[in-house]
Amino acid sequence: MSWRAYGASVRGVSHDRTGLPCQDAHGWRLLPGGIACAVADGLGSAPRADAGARIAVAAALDGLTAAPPEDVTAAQVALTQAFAAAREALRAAAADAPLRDFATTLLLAVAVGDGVAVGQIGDGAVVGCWPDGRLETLSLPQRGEYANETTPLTAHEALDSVRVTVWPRPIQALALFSDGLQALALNLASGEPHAPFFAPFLAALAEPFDPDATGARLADFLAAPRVCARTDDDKTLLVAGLGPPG
Amino acid sequence: MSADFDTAEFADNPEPRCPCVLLLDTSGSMEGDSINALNAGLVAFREELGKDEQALLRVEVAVVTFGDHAQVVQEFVTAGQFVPPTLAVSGQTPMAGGINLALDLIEQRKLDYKANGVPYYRPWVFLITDGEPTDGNLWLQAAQRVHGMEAGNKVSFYAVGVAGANMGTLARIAPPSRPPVALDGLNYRDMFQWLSNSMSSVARAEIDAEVPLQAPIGWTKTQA
Repeated sequence: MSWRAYGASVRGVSHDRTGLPCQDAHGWRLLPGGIACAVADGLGSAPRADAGARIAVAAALDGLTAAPPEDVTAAQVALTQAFAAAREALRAAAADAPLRDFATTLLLAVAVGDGVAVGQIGDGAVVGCWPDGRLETLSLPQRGEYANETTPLTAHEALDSVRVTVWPRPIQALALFSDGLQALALNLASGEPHAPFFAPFLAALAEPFDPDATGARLADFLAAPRVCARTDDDKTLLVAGLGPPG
Repeated sequence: MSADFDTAEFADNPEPRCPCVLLLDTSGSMEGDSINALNAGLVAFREELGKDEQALLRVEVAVVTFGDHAQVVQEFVTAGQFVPPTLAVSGQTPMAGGINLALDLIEQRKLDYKANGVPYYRPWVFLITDGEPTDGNLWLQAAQRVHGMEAGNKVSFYAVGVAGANMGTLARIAPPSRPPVALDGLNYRDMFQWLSNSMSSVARAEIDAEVPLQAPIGWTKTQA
């Protein structure tokens, strides 16, 4: 069995109004016997948030691929290091500019044979699908009291705020998404996943699977009026799952 | 068969709320043109909010007045349900009682939001007065509470003085980071238009964005 994934990041309609680019980014890399996934949401208030999100995703995935973890214990350590690497990459990119210009959240998930490790700073969420089909929220939005407050990776001593959680059980599929989709995909009061949201996206991992075509269909869905009526923020969904044997 | 993404059903979550308490002086000295202009301003406020569909769902308005006594004239309602009251004047200026009542309302509203999983933005209190507190020294404690909540990021407190207001006292009540402004004549209409625009900006703010507000220009007197 091998992992497969697709994803899309789409500019929010509020950015059409303000002229901002899409400040979400996502990516994934296959690991020996697993997968590493990343989603970042650049803060609307940061002038180079779009670059910040891209750089954070790339640096974190580079770190996770360079020394791929073989089990979930190693994945936990690797995730912590990946957050540090992403922050360091932002610092290097910022050079003499303020680090906060590159402010972004970062969600990371690493699935390996014996479990899954998830790390988060800021908002967005990760939902997992266990082999029995049950969905569970693996990482919840971190936020302050107010709806428009979040802690970015660029914050002072942000690495202390990174929350890494480990589930030492094999996982079937993962969905990572930015806060633009939170109100559609989660019950915000309980933090529980809204299963009817995820069903078609998980089903799309089945054969025949073409990551580019499925990603393009996902982008169309995220840009559709039905979604835009509910969220005017940038939105990213990244779906990964184990393919059938063979 | 490829899965049809249009079959994805969305969770039904409450809109994030953006609470605002209008804290209004209805003492006897507001009689005549001033209270009439304030009442007209409230109507303009509702009309402005009505131009923004998102604000109608997200902005919540409550009204506290202080004249004869401090009282809640309007509990929190979403802007779409807000019917501007026609305020009458009488009595003195129990401003401290009004401030405490407004801050109590905010604290209770936050508990309601939390209990129901409703996301919310930082609440606003918008104080308008043409006088100075007449409830003894209580305003000193009320001012401390304002300053503490403002510094603790619990509320954004705005103070507006109408002609006749004791701006010195108002400056001691308002948070040091946000000094009071003086209303230009009876230009409540432009002031409420600004307030409505500001609340619309907050209610539309991206979940992670700081909210850029327009400077309160056009309705304030330039301070010497």
